[in-house]
Amino acid sequence: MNALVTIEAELMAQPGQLTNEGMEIAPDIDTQMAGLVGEIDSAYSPEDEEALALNAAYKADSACDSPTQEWRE
Amino acid sequence: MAGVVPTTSPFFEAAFTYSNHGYSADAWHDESTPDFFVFRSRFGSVRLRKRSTYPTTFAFVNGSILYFGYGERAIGGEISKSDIRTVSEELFYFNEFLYAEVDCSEQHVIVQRDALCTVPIFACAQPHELVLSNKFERVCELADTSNLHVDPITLSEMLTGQSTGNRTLLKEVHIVYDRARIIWHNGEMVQPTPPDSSLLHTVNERDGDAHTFHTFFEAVLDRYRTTYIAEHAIVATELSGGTDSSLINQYLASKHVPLHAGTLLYADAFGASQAEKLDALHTHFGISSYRVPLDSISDYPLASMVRSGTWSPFYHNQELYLESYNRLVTYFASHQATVVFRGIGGDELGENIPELGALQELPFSARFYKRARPLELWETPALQDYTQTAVQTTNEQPPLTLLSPSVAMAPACGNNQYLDYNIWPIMPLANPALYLYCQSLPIRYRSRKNLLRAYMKALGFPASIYASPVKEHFGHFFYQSVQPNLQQPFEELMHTSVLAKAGLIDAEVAQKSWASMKIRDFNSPIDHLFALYRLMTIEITLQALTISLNQ
Repeated sequence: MNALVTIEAELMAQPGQLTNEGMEIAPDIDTQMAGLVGEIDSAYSPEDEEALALNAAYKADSACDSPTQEWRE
Repeated sequence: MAGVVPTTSPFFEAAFTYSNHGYSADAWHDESTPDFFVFRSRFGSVRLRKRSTYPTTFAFVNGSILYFGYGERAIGGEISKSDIRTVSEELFYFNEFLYAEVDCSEQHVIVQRDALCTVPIFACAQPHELVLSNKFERVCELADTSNLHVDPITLSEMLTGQSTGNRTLLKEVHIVYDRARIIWHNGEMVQPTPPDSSLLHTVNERDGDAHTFHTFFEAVLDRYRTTYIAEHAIVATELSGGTDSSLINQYLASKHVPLHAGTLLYADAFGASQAEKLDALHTHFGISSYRVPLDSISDYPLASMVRSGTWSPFYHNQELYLESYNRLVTYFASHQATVVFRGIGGDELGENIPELGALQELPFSARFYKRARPLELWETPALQDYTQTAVQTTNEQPPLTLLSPSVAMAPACGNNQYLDYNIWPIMPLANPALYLYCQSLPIRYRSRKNLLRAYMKALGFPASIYASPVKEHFGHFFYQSVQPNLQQPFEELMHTSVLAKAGLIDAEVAQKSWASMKIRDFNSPIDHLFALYRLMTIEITLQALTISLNQ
């Protein structure tokens, strides 16, 4: 986890990089994201999440080894 | 589009031959052209495309040593001189590089690669010979193929419907992955193993905060925009109407980056739903995506080889729809694009929940049989024995790369089509830091791409993009283009089948299966047809290289 904490701190510290420059479409994105994250939180009980973890399947399909692949981009 | 032709040379190739007697007074000769660095000595040769925009390439000689590569030369050089097991992960999160030193008098080669692996590297190491290239087929051309062997694990995985990991069909040809270092000295190959990434640890902890996701996401894309888009870069983007490419284009549009967007367009009913999405995106952020219609008559898989009448070896995981993709890449090249943003990695950010811990604990054979499908009609009991022997003689653990396990293969699958035109692929959604961040989030955010979809909703995307009822896929196109067009070439390959000669398949049954395939039940025949197509790809490479299974 240390590696992630380091890179997160570095990225967040970049001056001028984290503005909403040009993001006219969603000027209040912080507020909207907080609400939407809350919606996800309330949609899943701890039991639901445990079930998701138990049913989790390892998906190791390559980007191009299935004829029925969806768009990958 | 007239006048736009792909380069005839790979982005990169190198070949070295060890001599027991050494190469006294050997020296590098600069034979570079306007487009390529070319250096030759008696020890070997190196050819590398020149790039003057991000990432720049370099090649120069100091004494008997040739230095070459691309990107962050200083970082690559520093890492190549360090113990790879102690190098900090962070150095690899955003730095793209290939760093190589070749001493022709000492017969010594060091190649250090990055973690992002944008340029695929295939390496063939045999006694007295080392060959490297971004193209598998070029490695096969340059290498001494008289003593190449089939890799039984890859063959077993391919014949049992499995994803084939990080290997090629040939035992001697390796894919140089994530942070790998090649040291070749006096004809001996040494590959120090990089440490596992911190991913497993992160997944187990799962204490990420979803509230900061959008800030982190934009910070990562900011880093890509400010680092990878050089001053005079001409930017292309893939924009298909799906969630991942839409997010990237939204970001670039919000930063007013001029770009050329393009996509393949499905030909059937999926084409209509895809076109609606593209229209909605045009209204949403003003980007119009150039549409290349999929054409099952002319752009079927392997069409160029079938038309030329010559089989050539190729990497079995290369882009399945390369023929169609080439039209799109040609469009980007006609606009002199220097970089292209790709959406590779979005699924892994927002959806996949790898059981890495469980997988790490399983022996290879358990993982193999967990994923293997039952034998097809044309597969013989001898194949079962062959695979059993193969899996019992190895116990490899899955690679734990900084890229997600599935994305680690993506550059080798699909980046060469862009590199052929000197267009640099950029895959911000595959970034290891972003992947690590998302894998640290509790599962509820990654189930069904919940968090990515929430982010798109917050950005004001049309619901038809982030909550589409239709998931377009290639299945119908695959059947339409492969079943009729490749039946005759398939039959020809079956007449001289290497696998049949080894008793692993029944070639007659395989031919009958192909001929009788009807698309009544949509998914089932596609899977069987793909199994036969896989068979075909194996035969092409083995027959082109005249490799038997009895060596």
